[in-house]
Amino acid sequence: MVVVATGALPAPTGLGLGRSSSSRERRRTRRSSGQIRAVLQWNRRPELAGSRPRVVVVTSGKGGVGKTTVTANLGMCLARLDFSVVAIDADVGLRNLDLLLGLENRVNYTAMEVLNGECRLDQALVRDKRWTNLELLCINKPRYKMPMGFGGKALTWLVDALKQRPDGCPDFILIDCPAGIDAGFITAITPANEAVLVTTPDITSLRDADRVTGLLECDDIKDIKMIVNRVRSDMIKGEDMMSVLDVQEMLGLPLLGVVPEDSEVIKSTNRGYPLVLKKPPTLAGLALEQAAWRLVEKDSMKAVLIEETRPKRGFLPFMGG
Amino acid sequence: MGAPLPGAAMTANLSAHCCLCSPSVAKRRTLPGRILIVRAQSVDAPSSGSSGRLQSLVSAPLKLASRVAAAPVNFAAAAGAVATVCVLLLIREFVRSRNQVGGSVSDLIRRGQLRSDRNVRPDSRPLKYEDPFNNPLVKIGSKNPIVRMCGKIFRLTPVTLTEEKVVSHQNRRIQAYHWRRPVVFLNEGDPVPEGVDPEEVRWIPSNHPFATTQDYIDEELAQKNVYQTRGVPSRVRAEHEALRKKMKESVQKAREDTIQDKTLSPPSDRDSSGKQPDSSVRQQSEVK
Repeated sequence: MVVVATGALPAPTGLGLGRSSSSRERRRTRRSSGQIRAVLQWNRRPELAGSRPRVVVVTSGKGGVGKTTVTANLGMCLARLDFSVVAIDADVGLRNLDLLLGLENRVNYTAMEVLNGECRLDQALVRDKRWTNLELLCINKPRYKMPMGFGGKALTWLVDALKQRPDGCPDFILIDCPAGIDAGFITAITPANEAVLVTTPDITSLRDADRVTGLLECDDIKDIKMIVNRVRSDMIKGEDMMSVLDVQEMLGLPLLGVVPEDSEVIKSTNRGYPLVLKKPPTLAGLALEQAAWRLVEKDSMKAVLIEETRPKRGFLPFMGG
Repeated sequence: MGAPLPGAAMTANLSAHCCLCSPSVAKRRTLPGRILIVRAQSVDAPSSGSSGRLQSLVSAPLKLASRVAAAPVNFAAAAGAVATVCVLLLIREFVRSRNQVGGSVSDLIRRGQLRSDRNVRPDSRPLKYEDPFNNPLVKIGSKNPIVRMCGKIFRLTPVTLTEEKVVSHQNRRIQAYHWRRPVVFLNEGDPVPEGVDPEEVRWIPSNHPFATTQDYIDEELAQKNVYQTRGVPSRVRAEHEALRKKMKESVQKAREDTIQDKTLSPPSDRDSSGKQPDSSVRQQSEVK
């Protein structure tokens, strides 16, 4: 049994898994052979739900589950959907978001230089040349000791300044949270209104994710959705890995997306080219695009995909072999 | 028989053009200094010797052309091929026209020469979104919930999480994790100020590196720096002003030094123009 991402289906499939009715559609249906049909849609854009800007923190608790990858790909998807996005790498001292976006050579100033008065905020923002809607803000480690609790204040000022900037308020501010639940985590969640929890289907990650969810709820962040990353269909089928439904039973959080294990993730990281830009799209890329769509519309998954094994054709199929 | 031939190049050209002829003719070399005169002759004319070879050289392509002309032409196949080519060209033009929306300024935006978010021409960028839910690569079955994606077959299973389960999980976490955001940071042993919730106090152990931290950063100045939208950043401006002040001081100090040097220098050093000293002064010095 394998689980791959999908969203709710359009109503004509008869599964009662309707989409949000607020989106406008122009459809052309092409009937192919048999009972399978491909529904083509174009010029369709998700409608932004909630007020601008939407400040979303991407967190997990456990390290290495794919927070930075999810942040980079969600940000790129949102920029492609014509939303203005500012991605903030709140992992002070161990920044990686610039590597995944391929912008590491263009980071000259960070938020610390802004706080010190060495540059302005607009000079510290790095604009992606592929999609100019996407901007990156990194945070360096300060050279001097800062008072405890100053980090959260500073990040709140930064988010507020982004809201008030002359270029216009961004639609999304994605904050890549560091691993753990110490000062870095507290700093990153300070200005956030909603959270995306990234977890993998293993018990250690789930326990940390549960703890982080509790802390987020204590800090009045109630809108928390989950992305299950690195799902292995073969291991789920062999009952060596929990299924996505099991993960959801344990955490009790709505699903934003399910991303299968894909070697293209590592390749895209090495190239500095987000996975969602790859054509043709991979399963993981498609899953992340769907997750971005649901994030915009504040939707969650109503169904999950479980991989079916193809019946093996024998040498003499007509003889039942 | 005539004027001399240019040479081997001409011979090579002739042999290339004679590719339809018999190999013996193609390999034949013309003698240098000779012109090859070709005369059209009917195919059925008797050939003998060199004239016969010349005749075969000329008549072979004519024979081939006549054979091709005589062959039955499949008009349907030719028409189909032409129609296919036309349809492909039309499709290519259609796709190209769909991609190119707007004038040539949109090309500047596409090439990165012009910022696309200037909102100068709102229609210059085409709105084209690929729907990940209804992607052509995703084929959905109508009768049974089967999805074909990237060469694999999947079955849809509804999610089992209900609102009651969500609420029960939230209640479980509220009881399990009690945490409040720290507002006040105190060193160990310090008394809790009045009006401060003890749960909002974060105690810093004595061996913590931040235990003896002084505030190196001016919070008001930092906030001002963050909200600055135009002009020179404050630290850069302060450095410029400090540098300007230093340069002014050094210039002033240099001026003062030169004035002091002028006042302190002896009178003899002053007559640098070559004038003789005053005679009364000389007499006084002699008397002494």
